[in-house]
Parts: sequence; C-alpha cells; structure tokens
Amino acid sequence: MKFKFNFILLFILCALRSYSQDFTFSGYVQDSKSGEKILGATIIDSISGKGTSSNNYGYYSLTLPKGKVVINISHISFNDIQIDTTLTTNMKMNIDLESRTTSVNQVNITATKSRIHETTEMSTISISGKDVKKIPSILGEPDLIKALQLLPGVHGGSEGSAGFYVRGGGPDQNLMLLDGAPLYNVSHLFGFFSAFNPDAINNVTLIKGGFPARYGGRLSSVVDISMKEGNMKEYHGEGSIGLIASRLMIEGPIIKNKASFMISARRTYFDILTAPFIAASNDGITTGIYFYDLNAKINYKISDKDRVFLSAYNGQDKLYMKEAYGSSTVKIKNELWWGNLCATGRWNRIINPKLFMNTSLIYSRYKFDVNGTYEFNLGTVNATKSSADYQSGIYDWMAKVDFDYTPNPNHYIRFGANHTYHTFTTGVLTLKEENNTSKYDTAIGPKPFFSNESHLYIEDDYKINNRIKANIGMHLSGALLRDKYFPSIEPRANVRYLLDSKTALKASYTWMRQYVHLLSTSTIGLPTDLWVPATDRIPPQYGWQAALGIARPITIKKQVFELSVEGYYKQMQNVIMYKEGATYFNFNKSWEDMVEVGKGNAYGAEFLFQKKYGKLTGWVGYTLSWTNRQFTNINHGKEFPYRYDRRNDISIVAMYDITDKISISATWVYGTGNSVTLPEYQYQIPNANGSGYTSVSQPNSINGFKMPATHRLDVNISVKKQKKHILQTWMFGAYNAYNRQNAFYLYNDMGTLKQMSLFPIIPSLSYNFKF
Amino acid sequence: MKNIIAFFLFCILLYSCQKTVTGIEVPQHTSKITISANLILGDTVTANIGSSLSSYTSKSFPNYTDAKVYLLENDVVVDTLLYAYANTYTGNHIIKPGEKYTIKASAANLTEAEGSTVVPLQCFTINNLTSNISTFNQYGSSQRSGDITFTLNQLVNSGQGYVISLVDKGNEMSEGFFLTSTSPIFNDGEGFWSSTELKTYASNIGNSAQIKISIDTSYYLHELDVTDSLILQIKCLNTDKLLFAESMEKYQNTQDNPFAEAVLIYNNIQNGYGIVMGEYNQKIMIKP
Repeated sequence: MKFKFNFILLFILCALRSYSQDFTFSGYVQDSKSGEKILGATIIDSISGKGTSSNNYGYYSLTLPKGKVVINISHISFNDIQIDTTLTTNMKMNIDLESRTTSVNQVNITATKSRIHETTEMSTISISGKDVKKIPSILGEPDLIKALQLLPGVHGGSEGSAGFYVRGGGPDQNLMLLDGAPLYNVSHLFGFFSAFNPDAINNVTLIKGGFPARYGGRLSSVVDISMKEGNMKEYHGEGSIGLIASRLMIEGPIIKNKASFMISARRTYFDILTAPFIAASNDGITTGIYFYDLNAKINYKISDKDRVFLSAYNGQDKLYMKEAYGSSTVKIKNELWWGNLCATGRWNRIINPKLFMNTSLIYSRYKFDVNGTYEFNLGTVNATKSSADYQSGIYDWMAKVDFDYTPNPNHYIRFGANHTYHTFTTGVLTLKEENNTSKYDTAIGPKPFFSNESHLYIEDDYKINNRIKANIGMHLSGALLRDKYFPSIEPRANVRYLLDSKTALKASYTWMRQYVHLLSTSTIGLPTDLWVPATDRIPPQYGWQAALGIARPITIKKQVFELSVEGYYKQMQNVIMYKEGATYFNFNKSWEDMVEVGKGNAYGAEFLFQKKYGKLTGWVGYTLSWTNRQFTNINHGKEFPYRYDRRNDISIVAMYDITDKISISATWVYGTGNSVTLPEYQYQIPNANGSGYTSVSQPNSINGFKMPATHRLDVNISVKKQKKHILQTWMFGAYNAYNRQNAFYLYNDMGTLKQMSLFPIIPSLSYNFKF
Repeated sequence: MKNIIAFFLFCILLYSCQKTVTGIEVPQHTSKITISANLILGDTVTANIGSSLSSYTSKSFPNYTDAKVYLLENDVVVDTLLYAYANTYTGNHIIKPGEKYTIKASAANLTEAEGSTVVPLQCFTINNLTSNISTFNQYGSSQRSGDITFTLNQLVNSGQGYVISLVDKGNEMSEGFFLTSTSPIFNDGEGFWSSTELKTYASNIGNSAQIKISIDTSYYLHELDVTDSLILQIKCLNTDKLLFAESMEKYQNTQDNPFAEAVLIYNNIQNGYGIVMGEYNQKIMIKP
C-alpha cells in the first residue's frame, strides 16, 4: 500500500515539474471545410523534437521553450501543414487541415510520416468512417464491426455475422462506446449487421490490449466510436439506396461557426417489399423483419473555452407475425424486438491551456422483448384476450468527468472518474388474460437488480528519454452488488523502447475487472443472450493480459508500410456459462442457478502488415491463437476450447484507386472453423427400471469438434460521377465471389454429418450520393 | 463499364463452379467396451457388456456372448460373470456393504476396460414409522390412499442421494404410486427417475428429520389386490450412482430441446464407457 502511495506521489510530482520560460501552444485541430474536430492529429515542433497529439475532442496542448518554433501538423486523412512562429507568450491557435485528396498522382509519403514506432500504444488500431465504407460487405451495406473483424485478433463468430470476439474473450468483454455511452448489443438482424451507421461515424479506435487506465469495466477490448459533430460551415448530406436498406445523413450549421447538427437514419425495407407477396401466399398472415437506426448530434460552441454536445442513438430490430381468422374473430400477434437507446450530454471546457476537461452525463438502455397476443371476439359476450410478454434489459445512468493535463511535452496526464447506476431486468415473463368474467395478470421472474459501479483513474504518457516512453496508470474500480462491495485495483503499463530510430519494442501489462456478464447459450446465436449483473453469488469477472511486440515503418520502393508483430497471453477468472443441460427457456429457475462460474485463458500471436498511404491501401493480417475455458461441472471439469477458438486466421484487405473516379476493393479471409459440440459416439445404457436400453450419443468433449475451415473473397467496385452539386457513386459488389460454401451449421442427417451454408455468392448494387 | 461487365461475367463463371457439399468428415471413432452395472447390497452382480459405435453409423450394437468379465472385491478377483442373455452377464458373488468392487471386461478386438465403485456402508435408520394408508373403491376397483410418516437418522456422507418409493408386492401397479412430500424431498415427475419415486440428497436432510409422504390419488389409479403387502423402499445411492443419475436425468430432459446445453453423461469406466455404481437398498414392510 505504501509502495502504491509513493508511486502515485512520484508520478504526480514528475508531471507537475514546471519549466521556466516555457509557453503553451494550444487549440483545436479541425477540418477546414466542415469545422469537424480531428482527433489523433500529430503536432510536432521540428526544432525541439517535442510533440503531442490531439485528444478525442480535437484539442491539443504543447508547451515549448520560448523562441522560434516550427510546428508540423499531420494526420493520415489530411494534408500536412507547417507553422513557423516565435513563442513569446501562450498561444491559442485552432488549426484547419484540408482533406487529403486521394489523387492517383499523389506524391508518396515518406517513412517519417508513420508514427507506429513512436507511440506507447500497442494492440490499438484506428479506422475512419470513410475507410469502413470502402471495405466490401454483404449486400453492399458497409459495416463497422465487419471491418474490425478483418483485423488480427478479432474473430467474427459465425459466417456472415457481426459477432465480435477479441483475443479469445467473450462478446460481453468488449466495451463498446458510442460517444462515451456504453452499448450492450451491437447487432442487427440476428447478428448479420451491426448497429453502427457508417454515415454517422467519424472515427473508431479498437484497443485489444494494453488498455490505458482511462478505460475500464471490460476484460478484452475497447471500441471507442466517435460520431460526427456536424458541419459548422455548410449544409451537406449523403446517403445510399441499397438492395435491402437505405441511409440518409444530413449535417449543417444551426448558427454558422457556432452550432451544428448531424442527423442520420437507416432502415431496411425487406419487410415492406415482401409484404404483398407474403399476404398473398398466406391466408391472413403478415410477417416481416426490419431494423432501423437513428443517430443525432448537436454541437454548440458556447465560447472559445466551452463547448457542449448532445448526441443520441436509437436502434431497434423487430420480427413480427400477425394472423387473423374469421373476419377478425381471432387475432394473433407475435413480436420479437430488441434495441439500444442511448443519449450523451457532454461539456468540454478548456480550464487553462494545459488542462482540458470533459464532463458527460449518459443514459444507455438495451432491451429485449418477446410478446404474443391472442384475441378471440364473438361479440361482447364471448371475448377473450390473453398475452404473454417476456423481457430483459439493462438500463444505465452514468456520470463521468475526464481531465487531460499536459504540463510539458514529456508528460500527458489523464485522470478522471465515473459512476454508473445499473438496473438489470433479467428475464421477466408477464402473463395476462381477460374475458367477460375474469381477469388474470401475473409476472414470473426475478425482481430488477440494482447496482452501483464506480471508476477512478490516472495515467501519464511519459517520455522518459529519447528511447523509452511509457504510459503508466492506475485504474481503481468498485461495485456494490447486493450489499457486498467488490473493490479492484488495476495497474496498467505500456512501455515503448526504441531499438533504433524506426524500430520499437513494446510491452504492456493490464489488469481488468468487469461487473456485468453475458449469459449466452451455445446452441443458438440470438439476442436472447441475457445481460446479467455480477452478484454476490456470481462474482465479477477479472483478468490480466500481457503483450510483447515490435512495430516499425518499412519503406519499399518509396512506399510506406507499417509492420507490427505482437504476442499476448490473457487469463480470465469468473467467466460464466450455462450449466450442462440448462436451457434459456426455463422460468422455474433463477439465472444464477443455471450458470457455472469458471476461468479461461487465451494466447497467441498477431501479425499486421499495413499500407495506409497511396492509391493502394490495405493490410495483411494473420493471427495464431488458442483460447480455452474450464468449469468444475462442465466437461467433467476438464479444460475445453472456447467456441470461437480459432487456430489460424488470415485477412487480406486491398483498396485500389484505378482512376480518380473508379476504385476497387477486395477482401479475402481464411479461418479455422469454430469449435462446436457434436455427438461423436453412442452406446447403450440399461434403463433404470431394468427393462430395455437407452442409447446415448455423446461428444468426446465440449466444443471438441472443429467445423470445416472457412474462406471467402469479397469484391467491390465503385464508380463516381460528379453531377452539379451531387457526387454520385455506384457501388457494385459480390460477397463470397467464388461461392465458397462455408458451414454455418452442422447436423446429423440419418447418420451422416451435413452442413448448412447460408451465404452463396451474393451480388449487390447500391447508389450513393453526397451533396 | 467494360470492367464492370467483365467483373460480373467473372462472378457468373465462379458461380458455375458451385459444388454442393453435404458430407463433413468426422473423426473415426474407435469402438470401446461399455460396462453398466448397478451393484445392490445383498444381491448378486448383473453387468451389461457392449461396445460403443460412431454416432454417424447405421450399424447395430453388436451382441457379445464371449466377453471375459470379472468381478473384483478390493482388487481381488472374486467372481467370473457369465453370459446370460442379450449382452447381460451374471455372477454369484453377494455384494457386501462398504467394499470396493471393480468390473473388468475384455472382448475380441477391444481394449480391456474396467470400472470401480464403493457400495454404501450404511443407509438411514428409520424410527417412529406410522402408516395411515387405507384402501377404497373407485370406478369398481380397489385403490390405496393416505400417507406414512417416519423419522430419518442420517448416517452417511453428503455425497449420497436417496430415492424413496412405495412398492406394492403384487406388482399389479407397474407405474407405482405417485408420491408427494414436502421439500427437500421432491418428485421430478419425469426424466431418469420414475415419477413414482421421490428423491433427495443427504445434504438436504438433517438427523431426526421427520418425513411424510403421501399417495396422490389423482394419479395412477390402478386395480390392486387388497391382500398384497406394501413396502417402503429407500435406496441409498453412492456418489457414482448419484452423479450418473443426475447426468442421465439432464440428458433425457434435454433430448428434444434445441435450446438446451449439451450434457456429458457421468462415466467411470477406464478405457471405455458406462457406469459401475452401487446402492444400499432398504425395504421396510408397512403392511404384511
């Protein structure tokens, strides 16, 4: 304890050491056309070699010695600029960057552009909303999660799904943040699409390990998504008309250079298109499925020091079936719906040039509901109405405050705190029946569960010397669960050591704890998965991860590539799984009685060779990994592979601009099959009453069978045409271009094991517009 | 535009190469010996010897008439079991309480397998037994109704389970009495155990617990001979039988449920599959 106190004290004292005759150069980095803030821009003084980068809100602060400075500002998506000036006082400057035009004649960028070897971050990748749209996708619907699945260390689950499994972790172990608000279920249409509309996304950062102390509450990954803020200068819009869905996004100033808005919507219309055919072929039956997303954001600049943002997201899926007989004498309605609703209010304040504050108030809700209604009506005398409604959900209220403090170029300190009040409804069935003589109304299931979760952190990105840079931090968390308090001390460390001017050796160690679980059935992949709290009986998950890697930019024929190779090992404790024989549809037992608590591990190596600049961009990723689970009363207590244990995983992504108007992109993926539980042998057991036998069919182990390997090629061609004020883009694509029949499901058909494939070659066409 | 047309022609070409893949290669299963034996205190041994098959074969289970089957008591061979009928082998040795028994079996082309279990040394003692069971006529036949009460003294460890039933000696009642009781003695109603049996675990019952079980006459009304004797039967299951029964119960309950998690049946056979388990079976005459 004494050691920890000394450590924190030293940490703060080092950071607060002031430099005499130093001045601070600070402000926002923003897009010159839209005023949109640019995060992750690099700001370096080429004279002193000191530098920093813009934070998640586009703010930067760089304290330099008095005198002449030459500031270079760069970002992957924008043209570099250079500012020559003399610092004689603190200087505020908002820097406007121009979008990089992707000209085929573009001058190649030198290797110094890449900063992969300079940062302490490892296991971290950022991707922009624009890049997401370039990557081929199923039915031409660009998808953020499917783009992330192409990165090493990320597994997408079943063929075609928007599952998200990072370094052997479960889907509940990913902290999905949309403008700081946690989202709990990020899939649409049973997992085939994700909840993120690419038109509304500005930037996405995926962190697979080496989590900075500012993040907490999940074991395996952080996906930090920032929505667009809205154009401060002009009205713009963009959208798409596709085979199954259309999108529209509009942004513009409410008050020029003062306030802006962005609103985007997306809806599938498969149900509308097929409704007449379904109605014609089914007597009185209407059925369909659809989803929609709505994103909205308002950005208001109160003063040079204060800004407020209001952002909201609502996404919902609905599967419905309506039936009516005998001139509406009998009416039956069944619905299954699930969705997220979240809203964030944020206040950014520049307290002084070195200290930036962000305060947020967040509401997030995920709800899953299955309901059915039966109405029988023969006049007022004989009328019966009965209904059943099953719902589960999670409701969060969260308040957080974060500070960025840059006392000098060698330190970048972040600290803050947040508190979340959770309400869980873990599966409540409500039954109602009403007729002329009686009324029945009852609810079966656990009472709502309330919990309080708090986090406190401090971290410093500390440049110790020219070779060594470290991000050292401490995350403290705790949760009050049914009168029992679970505290957690989570040290975090990322260290970079420069082997030479371009080669960095990086290492990280993180300790994480999370206070929610996702109870998933291994038999189906539906949104029936139940979000449940950690409780005094089912304790919080915790784990640690260590990683070691090398990163360096490589120049080949004046083309810049980035190479990173990482190895990792992760341990997870208190992971949960349904007990053997347990079933989701069991209302007689509490969920706590149906789960086993166990442990897991994951280890492997990841290789990423990436080209970010030029007319050909993309990457080659390879993952070699193992991931296992162990529970006392499952699989006879022996360790078994996790369902998404995937030994080899390869992804190749290429995007090529043939001309200024035509570009082509392709992805090829290969992966070892998923691990599933299949009966492998059978034998006979005499019946308990002594007469006859029962034949039992058994697997050798839980998840002991590997499905066939999957591979697939997706291609996409886009053709642009500028017409007056509208930029039109036609996109032609093919998912699974060589029609590989990847197994989605295996089944035993009269003694033969067969596979079901969901997706043959699927051509797509979409019309995109931008004005 | 030419490029686009060429691209789609390329896709159509690829599509024409489509093959329908139906069969998936499954690992070859090597057959192993299966042994199933329930060793009941005071009885001779009956064991079923067979072999396993792949889940993906249409073959029938073979009948082994010449398997070599031995019974060992505390690791010493005490009996050789002989083929009786349909994979069933029987012996003459009487099972004793508290002893470790092993059944070893070998058959042509199969590796020798064995399973061991320890038969319970003791069961409950029953005191203060009172019976309020009477007969009545319904639908022209004789029925029994009423209840019995008794106290149990727990003499065994918590790894055991208990099954309580009422048995009509005349055996006209193939389905038995449907019994009810109060928690922690419960009736699952279906599954591995008969709905006529009540079960509980040692850990649920304290010493001198008073038990009351009742015949539920809304179920299983059967004609019976009122002169038959009535027996209270209490089976004390050892840990192997308890674990096996629980896993079989789960397995059977989940067979037609696509949403249920897979169940691995408890298996204590080395180099094979199946179960060797033991029970202490007490019978108390209620009505001679």
